[in-house]
Amino acid sequence: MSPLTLTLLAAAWAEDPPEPSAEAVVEAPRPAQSASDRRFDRAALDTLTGRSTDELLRGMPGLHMSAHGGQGKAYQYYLRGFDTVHGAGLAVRVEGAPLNEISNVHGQGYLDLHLIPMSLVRTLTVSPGLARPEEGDLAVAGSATMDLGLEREGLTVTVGGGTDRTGLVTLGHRPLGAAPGSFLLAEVQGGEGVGESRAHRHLRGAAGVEREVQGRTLRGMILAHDGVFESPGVLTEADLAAGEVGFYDAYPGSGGGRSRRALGVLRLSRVEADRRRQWTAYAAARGLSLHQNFTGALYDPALGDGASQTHHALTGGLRVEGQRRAALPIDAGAELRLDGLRQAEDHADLAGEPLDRRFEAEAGVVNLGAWLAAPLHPLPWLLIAPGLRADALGYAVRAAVEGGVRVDDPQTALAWAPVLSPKLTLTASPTDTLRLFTTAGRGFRSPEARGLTEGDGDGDSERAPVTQVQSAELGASFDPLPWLGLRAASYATFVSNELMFDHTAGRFLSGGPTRRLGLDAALLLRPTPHLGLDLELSLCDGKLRGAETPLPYAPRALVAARLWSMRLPIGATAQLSAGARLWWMGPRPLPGGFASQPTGAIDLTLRVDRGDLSLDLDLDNVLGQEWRDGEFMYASRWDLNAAPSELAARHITAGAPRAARLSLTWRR
Amino acid sequence: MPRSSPFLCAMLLLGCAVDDRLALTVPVTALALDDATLRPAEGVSLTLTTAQITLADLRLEAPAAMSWRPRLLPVVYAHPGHDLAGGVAGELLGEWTLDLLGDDLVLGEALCYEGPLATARLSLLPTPALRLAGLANVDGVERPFSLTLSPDQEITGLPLEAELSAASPPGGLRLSVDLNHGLSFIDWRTSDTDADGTFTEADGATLNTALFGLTSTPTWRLTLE
Repeated sequence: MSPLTLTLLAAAWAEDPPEPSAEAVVEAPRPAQSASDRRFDRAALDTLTGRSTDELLRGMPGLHMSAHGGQGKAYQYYLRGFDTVHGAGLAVRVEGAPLNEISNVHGQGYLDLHLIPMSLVRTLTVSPGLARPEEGDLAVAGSATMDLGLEREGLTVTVGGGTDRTGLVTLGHRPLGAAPGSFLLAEVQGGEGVGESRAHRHLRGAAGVEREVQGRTLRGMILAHDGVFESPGVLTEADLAAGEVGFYDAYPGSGGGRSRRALGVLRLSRVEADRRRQWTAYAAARGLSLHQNFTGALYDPALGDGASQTHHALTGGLRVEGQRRAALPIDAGAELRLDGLRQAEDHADLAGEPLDRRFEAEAGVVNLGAWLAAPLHPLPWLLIAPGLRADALGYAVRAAVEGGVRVDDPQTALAWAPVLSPKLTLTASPTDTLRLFTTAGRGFRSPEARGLTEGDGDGDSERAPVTQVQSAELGASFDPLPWLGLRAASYATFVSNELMFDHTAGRFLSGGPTRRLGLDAALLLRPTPHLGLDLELSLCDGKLRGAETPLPYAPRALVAARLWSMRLPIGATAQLSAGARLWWMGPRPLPGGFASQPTGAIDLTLRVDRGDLSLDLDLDNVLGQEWRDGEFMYASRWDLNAAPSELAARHITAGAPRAARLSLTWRR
Repeated sequence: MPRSSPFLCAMLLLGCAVDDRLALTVPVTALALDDATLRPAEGVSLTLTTAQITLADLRLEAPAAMSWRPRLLPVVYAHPGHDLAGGVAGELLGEWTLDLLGDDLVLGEALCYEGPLATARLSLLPTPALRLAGLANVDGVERPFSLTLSPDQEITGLPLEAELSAASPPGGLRLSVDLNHGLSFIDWRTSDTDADGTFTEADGATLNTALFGLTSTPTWRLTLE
């Protein structure tokens, strides 16, 4: 019996089913397509531990996040056997607008959530695995959506600080009687952090308007962010063992950057008895500069191996979607996304000063997509939803510098690709407490524009290489008792050819076929409406097919336990919201046959609301463990007096240190 | 979860049991010549009185990686760890001046990782200079010779097919030089063009042929014990 069959059978037999009685984790408003789907409302979000909006994504089953770039750069996301780097497999939308940056100079799908103030997130829906037809590019390991708004009316002032030498001031205002989408918010966040090279400063501003206009809901929002940050980078295990560096130290010139972004979204939605329609228009401006050095002075002993990257982009798009619940129910939509970008990469010295240009290009990217699904109910307890998504990708790229050489007469290279992504979902609810899910289909990841610069200048367009992902999932949710819920989802994911862009070679390289088999399981306990315990287990076996070599970096075992209390009344006037998250991750395969150490930590969050005041206490890494956020095996040279070793050495990035942050919120 | 337990257990084992390559140290010794008399060519006999070579940085290399492995993810200057790993599987850094007519010299302990080895490389340094001197007997005619060379070159591709295991580490690595081969490219019958009475690297093309031979891969040999 094949592993895939075993996986599918196991999931079918695993006990499972439905909803928790309390709302800490509630099902999405639209029917869930997977037992791993989760939706968090504001009350539930208050029970999640996290220092930023990015870290709220830890509510996604099986997701591991790494912060090798400090507090300001996008996180690195690992999900369902994929190392999505900075978001190349995890698609996130806020208010319907995509946040992933196409062809960002630092990596495809760069997903930077520092734009969004954490207090502004009203709902978060996370969906590991193959996405619905309405999600297109990049949604191969998972997807998430966020809706924004201020929860409470009136003026809100939050002031806080922590032992990690950080502070936060947030001013928010929602007019009395106004909808949550009408608000003004300004936020200053920053500090030195614990250890070296962890300073950061973020300025955020947001404004929103929500109105009912002739039976339609109109929501308009503008978000802006300006962040400056240092990046501690990596440390070698040998230096740590020898006491040459401390766990929260950093090598000189390890990196940092500046991130600026503005996003405007306009949404018009109309909900009627049998239909729902929504139009979303968005526009975004982006500026990003990064400096990093992960190898010291190995390749250039005189000047160092630093690299600086700059990226400027303008993005705009339109999305129209609707659902009709009639004799022939239909979900359909279309979207157009346009990206114009300029990017460059320089060799930089140890101080981050650019030395010589390696790459410089400008590009235009267009993605036109449309989808159609028919959620049919042949039986009252059975939903069959076949769907099809069609995308057309187009690229125009012109490189001024390639491989360190300035191009005399830059030509515009044209490329295009059509992508068809069929999907099929079956949901069966044979009893009130049992729901079975089956999903199969295809997703895709578009290529980076900078890899398409090799046009021959004849004006003919070439076929752009698209990574296509096939996946099947079988799962179930089972709620045998009002206080007990079980979830399980097993999946098999196949990539026919892992196409990656090699920045050094300046071209796409074939990684070969891969497969991932995995299981997400969860036990949800709800002893009272205000208390809960979620136990989650995620296992994944990713292999290069043929060689059967493990896929590097992606976690193979991740266990998380979350104990939470949601708005628990304390006396007559106060409420307690709290959450404790304990997680453990097994050893991860590293390139070259190495493996990382198992790691884990415990984080706490606690919030007391009383009248016009709220007190928030966040404790990171309660046990004060020096846990390793990441481990990497490669050669580096940080001591310029030492001989340049080419032997792969273990490098680590430090996980969050023990820290306590306290903030006080006043409202009137 | 009774019926899914075996599957869960199997997956858990899978998730928790990830092999890691262990490190081990391997002593490295440079062997002196067995015999000070060489016969690099037909009719040529050399009796060495000086044989000094300066070496640096011995690196042991794993078999060439499959193309997907290092290239699956972007490179290291974009993200840590996303570049070639395992190309060098063992290393002993340092500089050593060998007296090939003296005793064997322990160079040190190479730090290695478990796994297969395929090749090795090392460097010849220009200082202190490579010196070979003695008496050459060419077709029965004796004349002194003295070669002073300043090679600054890496010797690559030394065959070393082996499998290292931390559980049963090898006894040591032996480095030897085959001067019969290394000096076989020299035309020992070249006349003493500078008329100084000694055959030197300045005579004819000796500088080039000596450098070629002494830096050629087959002149050097690594054996694992």
